[in-house]
Amino acid sequence: MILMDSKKSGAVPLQKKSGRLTEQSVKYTLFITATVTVVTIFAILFFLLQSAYPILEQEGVWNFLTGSNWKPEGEIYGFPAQYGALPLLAASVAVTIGAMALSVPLGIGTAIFISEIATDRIRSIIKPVVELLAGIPSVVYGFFGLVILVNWLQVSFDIASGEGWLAASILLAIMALPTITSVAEDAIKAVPREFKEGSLALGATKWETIKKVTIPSALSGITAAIILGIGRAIGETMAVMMVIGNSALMPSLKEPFMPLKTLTSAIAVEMGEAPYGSMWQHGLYGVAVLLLVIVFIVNISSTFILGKIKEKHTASKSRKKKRVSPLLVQQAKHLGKGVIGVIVLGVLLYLFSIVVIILILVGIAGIWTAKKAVVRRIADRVKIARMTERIAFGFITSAVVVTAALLGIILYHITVNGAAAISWEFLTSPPRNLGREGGIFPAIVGTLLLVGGAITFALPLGMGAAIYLTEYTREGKITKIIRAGAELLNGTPSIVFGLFGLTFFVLYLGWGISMLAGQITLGLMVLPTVIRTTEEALKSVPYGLREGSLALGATKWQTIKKVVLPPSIPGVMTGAILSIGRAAGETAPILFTAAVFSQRFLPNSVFDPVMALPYHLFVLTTNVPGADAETNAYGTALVLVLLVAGLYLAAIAIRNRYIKSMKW
Amino acid sequence: MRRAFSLAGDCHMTSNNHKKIGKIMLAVAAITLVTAMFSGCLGGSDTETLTIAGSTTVLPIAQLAAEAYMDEHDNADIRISGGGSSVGVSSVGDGTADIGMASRELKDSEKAAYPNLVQHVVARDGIALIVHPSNTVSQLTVEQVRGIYNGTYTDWNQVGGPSRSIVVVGRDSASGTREFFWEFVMDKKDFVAGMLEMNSNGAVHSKVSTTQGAIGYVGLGYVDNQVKGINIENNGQYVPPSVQNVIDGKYPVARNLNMYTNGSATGLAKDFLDFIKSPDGQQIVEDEGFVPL
Repeated sequence: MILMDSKKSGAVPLQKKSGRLTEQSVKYTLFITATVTVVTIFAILFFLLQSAYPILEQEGVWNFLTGSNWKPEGEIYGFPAQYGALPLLAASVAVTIGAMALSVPLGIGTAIFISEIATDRIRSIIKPVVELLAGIPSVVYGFFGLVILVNWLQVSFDIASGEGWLAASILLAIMALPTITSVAEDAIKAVPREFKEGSLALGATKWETIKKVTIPSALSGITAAIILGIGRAIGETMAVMMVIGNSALMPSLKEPFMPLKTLTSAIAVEMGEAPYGSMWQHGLYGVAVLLLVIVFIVNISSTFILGKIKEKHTASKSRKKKRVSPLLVQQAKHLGKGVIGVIVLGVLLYLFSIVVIILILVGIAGIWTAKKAVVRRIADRVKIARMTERIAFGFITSAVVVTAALLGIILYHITVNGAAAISWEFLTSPPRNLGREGGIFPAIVGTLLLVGGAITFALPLGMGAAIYLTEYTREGKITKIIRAGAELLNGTPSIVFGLFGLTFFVLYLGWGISMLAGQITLGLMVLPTVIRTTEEALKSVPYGLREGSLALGATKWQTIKKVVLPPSIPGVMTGAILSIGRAAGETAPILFTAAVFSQRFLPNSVFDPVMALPYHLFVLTTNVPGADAETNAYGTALVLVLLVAGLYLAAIAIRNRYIKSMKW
Repeated sequence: MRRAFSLAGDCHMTSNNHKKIGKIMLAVAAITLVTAMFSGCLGGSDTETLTIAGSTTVLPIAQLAAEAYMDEHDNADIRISGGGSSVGVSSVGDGTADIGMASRELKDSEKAAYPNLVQHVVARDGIALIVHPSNTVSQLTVEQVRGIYNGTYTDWNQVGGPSRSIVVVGRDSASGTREFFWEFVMDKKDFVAGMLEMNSNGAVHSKVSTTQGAIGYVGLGYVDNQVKGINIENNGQYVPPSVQNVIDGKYPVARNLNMYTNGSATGLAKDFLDFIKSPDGQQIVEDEGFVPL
């Protein structure tokens, strides 16, 4: 493709030499931007491994992984320090499993509801609800968990402390819900319509079709959704750290409320206190490497499964041409996986046991009356099938109700309590008396500056990379490597970005705690989103337009600049706004790189530290006692949620307008 | 024919859209630029900045002193960030902060890495033991406290209270407060497994104030009417945790709060440190519940 293009331009006699030079330099510039993701991944790995090396050398990799005591503070306390990461690893796994037990049934139920059951009207309400859940920043979940959830658990289960395993799992479940729902929904949507129509035509009810045809066909996609949810949960930091209790104990199934310390919370809590250059600090880098490796494995396996689905769908299409019944083939292929599907549904049943029992009782009563009323056997069977359908839809609807209720509870608490704090003074003055008085103006501006800088850094790089990937290369080894880089960067936990920012920008480059360090750390974090959305936007431009432009004698770069880029700008903007929204809510990446607790003036230069809304909320919640601090924390949380949700809604609005106005 | 026509029509429509979008993009760019300039201008050229980072325990003192200092000195801009004692030490050592805050003394590894650090004690911090206000226990010996924290006593009726199991609340392993408590109260022995580990004084306070059987340790500034401070035995007398009792040497559990500079303090840093040590500064220290020098 590249070769062909250069030949083409060479064959046009009117082409100026300088034009060709521009073409070449554009191509190389774009190539360089495309490599940024890969370079970043290697840089992160290199700096983390380098800092982790002393602990791995001292303890040995195996002992580090399997040692069952994490007591690194011994080094400064003066007792023998122990660096066994197993309790942290086990805690991360335990918390994630707990989260999945809750969010998998809820998420898949919601996905089925959105794609198969809901009317268009209801769908248009439920989808934004799920998207809004994704838009609530991690630190706001943590704040909600600390002031509401933990106390609620404590009272309703009559336990000593609500902080611990279950609290963290519940929060993570809510946070992983949007990921699971949207990916599972895509998978269910991708099931060919003929499958369902065939099943319905054979007389199966809607539920029978969903259970026996749709879900088995979408099973690998649903599996990928679960794996992505796991990736999201295992890398989550702020929310977990605020509610988990932070004791490095081995999780025990007998104590679902016990305090634990995960890989992420260990880094976030201890990094600030581990003496510089100590083994403790090296040990925390080791923990970060371990976390990164786990997340990489999780992400690679989900990419692998999603890739398989694509293959399968193309394969089934070609089979269809050969007139082999695709339904039968699919069914046979998924016989084994169907068992897993049953288990997933079983978990769904288990978790809504109370609802289940009520509904079953209603169902039995219904069936009993149905049996009495209907004499003929066939009609009987139909009735039972309909009844089963009603019960099943009841479960699914209750999943959706739970999801919507969760959002409702969180937003209600934050809005009602936050509105009391918000005033003109609160929005326009700097904090006083440790944030108990005054306002959050420097934090609002600081957040805008941080995300502004992040997107200024990420947008050109991401667009360049996307243009290179879609326009300048054929799918091959290079694109695979670049895409893998973006994929891995996308899955990298935010606390790892924070640690990298601290190690590389703050300490190695000597920028100190500065706005610039935070901007670039956040920019690197959102880069994959920018690349992905830009690529999608570029791909949606029909190929014919490019050919038309090239046929008129325009060069490749002229074509891209004048024909391909303009119509894809709305798509690119959607991606940029989504990225800004994500960056605005992040705490972990700026925790050690950019954020300052208090500041009366705004920063003079990019080398000054800044205040930021999420960090301010975190400090108010955890470090400032008193009722005034809590009121202002609610106010800060509300402003942050409004800011992020506003950005997300803007992105959704642009996307919808774009879809409507695009007619090729 | 019809197809070509419709294509042209659509192209026209989308190009209009592009103009609109172009304008939006331009507006966004302009706003970004203005914000950037705005932030550059506001600082002014004659302001002097002082960056302070480190321990969250010392942070309130630095913060409130900075507010008072900046009210007096218009051209001073003092930025304070937390991060923890170790962040304080390493950032002042590396020159990314002018003053580092730490609630502990320097460790040997830190002394080796940054030989020039100068210690300034700015206040003392008494550690209070707090329980739920409904708890009838109001006094303990250091031995009893140790017994509670090492798991010897698990029920309040073992230390003179009602029959209710004790919920032991402590700080996370990274905390300087915990380190001090471990050395001073625990005789360097292990804490009971299952102790709840909070990552701030505020979190310990809110846990104890909402949990009937709980006991926790916090800085004196966190003792208020939502929790009950425990009187600690010293030379046969039970002494309530208060600033005055620490000053008088009656209340036994207290430590130094430090600020470090790289070499002797100069300029704004010196002026600010002098202010904290002045009577006005020490009044702030006392108001926030810390012990003045």
